[in-house]
Amino acid sequence: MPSPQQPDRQPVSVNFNELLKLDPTLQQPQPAAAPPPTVILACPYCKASVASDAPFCPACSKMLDSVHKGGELLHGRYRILELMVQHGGFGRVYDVVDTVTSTSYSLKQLRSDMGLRPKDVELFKREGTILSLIKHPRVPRFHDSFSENGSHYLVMELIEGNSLSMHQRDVGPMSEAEVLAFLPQVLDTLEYLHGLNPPVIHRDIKPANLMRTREGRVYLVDFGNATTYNTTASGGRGLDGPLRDRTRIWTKGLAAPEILLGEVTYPATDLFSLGLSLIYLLTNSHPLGLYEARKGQYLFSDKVCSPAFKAILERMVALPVQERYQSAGEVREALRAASLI
Amino acid sequence: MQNPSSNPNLDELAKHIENYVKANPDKFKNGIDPAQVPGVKPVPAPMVFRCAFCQKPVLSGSENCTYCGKPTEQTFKGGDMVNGRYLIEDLLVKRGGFGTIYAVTDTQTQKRLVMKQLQHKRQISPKNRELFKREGEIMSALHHPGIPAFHDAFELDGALYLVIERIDGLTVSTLLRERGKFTEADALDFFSQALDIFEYLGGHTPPIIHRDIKPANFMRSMDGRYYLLDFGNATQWRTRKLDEKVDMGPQREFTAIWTKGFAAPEVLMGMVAYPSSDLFGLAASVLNLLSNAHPLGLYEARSGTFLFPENTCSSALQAILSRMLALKVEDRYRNASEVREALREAKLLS
Repeated sequence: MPSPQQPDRQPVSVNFNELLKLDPTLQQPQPAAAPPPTVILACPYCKASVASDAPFCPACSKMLDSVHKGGELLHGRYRILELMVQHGGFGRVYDVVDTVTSTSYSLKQLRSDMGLRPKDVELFKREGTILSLIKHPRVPRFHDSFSENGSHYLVMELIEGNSLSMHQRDVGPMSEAEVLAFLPQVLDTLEYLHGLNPPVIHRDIKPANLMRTREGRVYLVDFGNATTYNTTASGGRGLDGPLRDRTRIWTKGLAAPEILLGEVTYPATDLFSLGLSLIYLLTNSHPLGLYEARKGQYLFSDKVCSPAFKAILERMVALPVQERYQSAGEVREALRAASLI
Repeated sequence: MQNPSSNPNLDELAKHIENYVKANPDKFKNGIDPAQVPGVKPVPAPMVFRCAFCQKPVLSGSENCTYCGKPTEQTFKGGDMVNGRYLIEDLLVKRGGFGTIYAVTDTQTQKRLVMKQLQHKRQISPKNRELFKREGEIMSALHHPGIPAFHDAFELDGALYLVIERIDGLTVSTLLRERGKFTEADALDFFSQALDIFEYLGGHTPPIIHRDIKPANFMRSMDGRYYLLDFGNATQWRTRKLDEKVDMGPQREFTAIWTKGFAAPEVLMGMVAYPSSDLFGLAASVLNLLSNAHPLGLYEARSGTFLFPENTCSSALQAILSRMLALKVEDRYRNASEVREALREAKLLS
């Protein structure tokens, strides 16, 4: 209840005092080149305003966007082993063990510290839906999804490996042989995804979303931005047409022009991003810097790969969709024809 | 305690939007914009800022810092005098993309001006400060009847100010929304006046590139003149990459202000801008005015071209706009003079 002396100010100042106690760095005077602003969000339970870094809602004192600790039991069956990713694009990732079957899984928690818009929840749930439709040995298998205490969770196959972007950061550029060793696997995965009915377009292929296990299997992960052709979706252009989807998640420098200029997707959209990712891995320089605007193509050194492979890569990253390979199968055919695989 | 959501049940809201979109499929041919659904108001998330004086967190919307009691925001009222010279008439935009905008009168010359204010409350980051200063520098070098004249730039009590000529009129995007699509004659009038401005910008050495050309950045005055506004994103053209740190560098370094649908592919895919990038934006704007359809919905990905709806414009104008909208820079006209030449040849301009 607000006190009679300061009817309006009281609740706000109490909140910030709490905040200051929790964060001792705030009590120090700070230089004028200011730190990023604290964001205030709605509590998912009582809709009161709460600072994003507050562990509790000051109004209803429920725990907010809880970072789970090792040993905690979720949904009555998933025991947390370890926090793997603290700030992913979509949230936190944990290693968990299903206490019913004693199997290890990966658990993804939708972050709510950025504020949960209906679109975020929809996308997160769509990731679960799309993953549950995919049964492929190199796509993490969907296991379970649930919502608990205002947080949303997705449980899927645990992949033990490093992403190719981590490999790139640690080791440097890849050789052509190394790229060709895993490329058929990714093409196979994409051929499967695009061959589903309706086709699934990943839309965010990049080195960070390709996970390589110790045995050399390369998984395609993070379907949070994936989409399916849907003829009934508003704005869809029918069976032959591309899907129009206004989701604005794309990775700078790796997204295809049709996503940027028209917000439409084709199977060749994934091949474009795959081609750019391969160029990125081979040259170790970001595609943003390789784009030659005059000619509308990507320029990179002849030394990083053989001329035959370069020609195939260049066709994969052509700007108009019709100038690209139309399917992953066509890319594989071209690689075979050049006796690269 | 503020209640940030006037609509407590977000699922219900989402359902309402979905139902409305299903009931009116024609309205949303080019994608769903929830703001166009009646009864839906976008709810901005309340923010906490740090007080400029004591660095403690302050809830946005509160007038004074809860700790030191100093005013968190210098919002001037009508009649206030700023810098001993500018008399505030009116608050035009409370929080634009870049601060607050006032209508002011210069008491020394009695000129009617616009004052842009970048508040310390808005957390003047080094990047914002640089952009704001660059806008002042670029505008002070420009003298053209189609560009608001620069008057003054100063820093006062931690806030940055830019004073420019006031134009009484409406933005072209507002005109489009209120009056519907432009006739070809109206669009050509706009096109020709805009080309004038781009010829002038291109005549600088090095040429000046605006980088955010869209109908919302053009203003039509009462007497029918068009003005190009908002040079906050403008740059001087360099033939090399705009940012040397492209390779593996931190991507936060990039100035990332663009408008989807009007930005040229090289801006999005390579972070480089050419004079013809502005012409791409101009052609997309003209296409937008002629068809009243968002360019995003007109892009035909298979061939990499833009589709013109039937009866948009004459085939001669369509050919010129299509060439301006080419994906490759080398396929486009190199500068505004070439476009004007082409329009003259097609007898679209005298």
